[in-house]
Amino acid sequence: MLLKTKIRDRMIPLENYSSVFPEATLREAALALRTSHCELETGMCTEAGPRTVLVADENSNLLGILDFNSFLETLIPEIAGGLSAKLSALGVSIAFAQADAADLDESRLGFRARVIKNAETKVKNIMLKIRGTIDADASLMDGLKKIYRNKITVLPVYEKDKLVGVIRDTDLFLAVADILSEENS
Amino acid sequence: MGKNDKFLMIILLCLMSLILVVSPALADASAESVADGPAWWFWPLVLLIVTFIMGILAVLGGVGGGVLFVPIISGFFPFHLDFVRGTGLLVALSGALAAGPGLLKMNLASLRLAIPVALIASTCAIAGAMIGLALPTNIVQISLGATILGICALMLTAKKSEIPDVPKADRLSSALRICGVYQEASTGEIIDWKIHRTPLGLVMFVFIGVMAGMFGLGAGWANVPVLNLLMGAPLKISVATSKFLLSITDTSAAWIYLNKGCVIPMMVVPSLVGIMLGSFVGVRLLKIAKPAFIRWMVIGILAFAGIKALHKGIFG
Repeated sequence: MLLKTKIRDRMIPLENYSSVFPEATLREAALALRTSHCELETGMCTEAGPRTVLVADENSNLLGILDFNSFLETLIPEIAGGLSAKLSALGVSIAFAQADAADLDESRLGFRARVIKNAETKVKNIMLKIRGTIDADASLMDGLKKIYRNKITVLPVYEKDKLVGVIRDTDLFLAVADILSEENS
Repeated sequence: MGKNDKFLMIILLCLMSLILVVSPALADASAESVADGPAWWFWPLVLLIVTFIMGILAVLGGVGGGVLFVPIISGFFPFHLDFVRGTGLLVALSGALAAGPGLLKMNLASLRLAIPVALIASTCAIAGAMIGLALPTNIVQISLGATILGICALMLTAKKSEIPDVPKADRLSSALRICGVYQEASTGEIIDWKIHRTPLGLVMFVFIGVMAGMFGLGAGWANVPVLNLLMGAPLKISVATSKFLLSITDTSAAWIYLNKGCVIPMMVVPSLVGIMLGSFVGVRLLKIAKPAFIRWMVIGILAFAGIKALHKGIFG
């Protein structure tokens, strides 16, 4: 079953996946992802919703991708950021404190105000690189291998040179789970 | 016991255990000093402890690390002034380098404002470093004492203006396109800023550069008032640009000290580690409370160190 299934049978078509321009702000990207992840239009909130948003230019050329982690690292760097982000924030706090202007330090603002401010970051500055793509006619097994070898969660699917959809680790899991489900029934 | 009290208690316990560990070592070292001077690790350890406390005080008192380091270490420790100034520049530089990327990323440090100013200040800092190393030590010490007392007066009297009123940008700043926009995070307001009195400001940076290079003080204490009060840049932009400026100005002067052999790793490494660790702790403490008396205490210590420098310069 898994050997015969093609990527195109399991992928999410591009029109059902959210994408933003590189010049968009994180706020726009976050709201787009929220809509597609929770399928707000249909009033459903499902865990199977997309967990990433694509970054593409006007000609639909895929430039990068944003996942939950890249959102949170930027929106709340003091919690989700790496060591360098935390040290950088400390350096800024020290700069303001040593100038006797600690009250101007933005890290002292409320959580909400900081999130709103950080959401103005441009998507192109934080997007992740695309690590691998797959052909729509490749087998699901190939997709599974590529996702695990590249340690990624989503794989853009191309038909010739055109981006047509996205296959996710969730889709591959569901395909594998289907085998078990068929065996039980 | 609240979370904050626990945090303070942990810091106090750490400081006490540090003293307990260090005191027998100091006793050993002083015993050795009778015969052939203290052990090699004695002064680096003292510097580490003193600069750690200095880092906390600098953050809580609202002064730069270099401003505290040079007068205190040169006044009360048996190091030659040249080595202290070389280390002082690197101490000031470490804070600037730690803050620089974050300030640029937040769009607070203005490159348009910093570059022309940095060109003048760093050139003059090189000249200042050369003058400082060429002059007799006692003259530099007297000038340092006078400058420190001047900084105390500035800290006591200088006011700040969060968003100064700049009716019209002057011709030079318009030609150099020194202006910008930033978003005030607390209100979401977009603030358009421009500057005036640019020629006078640039002349001031000639003096600031010379003093930064000559005394190894860093120059945040002078940069911020000139950028904010004289040139009319918003306080937030002034503070951020001043810190970014230090990374350029102090680097230029530090090369001169490095080239003349005035930068000793044995002094620099413990001082940098101490001041940065102290600053990190200071920032944490600042989030709990900012005792007003600490700033007064720091000004008092600086004034005392300034008088001591004057005394040392005049009477040897």
